[in-house]
Amino acid sequence: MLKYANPTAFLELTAKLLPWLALASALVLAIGLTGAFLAPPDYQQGDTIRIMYLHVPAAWLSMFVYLVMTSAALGTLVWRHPLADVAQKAAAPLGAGFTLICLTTGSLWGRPEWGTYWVWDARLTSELVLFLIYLGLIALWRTIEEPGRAARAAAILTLVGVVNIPIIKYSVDWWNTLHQPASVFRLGGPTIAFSMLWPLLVSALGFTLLFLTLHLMAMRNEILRRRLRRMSLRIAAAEQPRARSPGFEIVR
Amino acid sequence: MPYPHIVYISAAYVVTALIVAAMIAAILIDHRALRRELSRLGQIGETQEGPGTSRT
Repeated sequence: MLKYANPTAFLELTAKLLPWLALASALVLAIGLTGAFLAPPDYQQGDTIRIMYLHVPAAWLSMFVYLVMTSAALGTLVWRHPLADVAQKAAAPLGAGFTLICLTTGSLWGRPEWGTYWVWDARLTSELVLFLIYLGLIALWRTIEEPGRAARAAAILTLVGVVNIPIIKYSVDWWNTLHQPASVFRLGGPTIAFSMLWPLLVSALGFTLLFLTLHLMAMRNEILRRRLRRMSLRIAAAEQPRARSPGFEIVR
Repeated sequence: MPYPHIVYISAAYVVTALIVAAMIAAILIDHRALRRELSRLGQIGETQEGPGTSRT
């Protein structure tokens, strides 16, 4: 683990790993989504249930990515792991992307089933708050130029925002919401028929592999961006003494 | 009609595909731009240090 804390070792490892991970995510997603169209229609919702195979994995990923960012925030603040803030920064736009998929597919499911695209329901509102937190974190990273300061500020905001995750998860139990309660991860076991459950779980695995692939790619970009920044600073520092050389004084 | 809500189902799949494509494209475009800039700065660095003095 410590070996891969070195960015160069990380770049070498991920260069070998990424093609296989990308292939695995494409295959698993293809199986999951084929299963989604082979699964029987729901007795109440009919074929609209097919939106669930995108919406539910995206909703899980929106929370999972935030938990990954929370671990990375702890890594930045507590253990000062060299790749922790890289992981945190790279995950935020992906988290925002999966949350946006969750919100839009949920709206497109809500229109035929509830008769409306949106209600200020506890589950929907807390998911929207999560999307806004992601946007806030992306903005924070872009506002502060020095990566170390940006990492600490973003880590603190991430740790504050994690309180929203249990609110999203338990909102359907704590409040009387229009959104249906949990039907997969619940104490009494899943309430979905196996013919619908397996494509959902395979699709969720595909989304998770897709996130891991994109996250590693984005982390590699972030490492390159920091190298680029260091190189620019080194070149600027090398040019400075020339600008202050006596030759320039004579010209002036 | 086999899928009465085909418009909503199709829209959900299209929107998801677009968002995923946008995430992949953003990362790939960023990667290309960073590689290009790194090689450009690498050349400047070598010019500053002069031939035969570049560190590896």
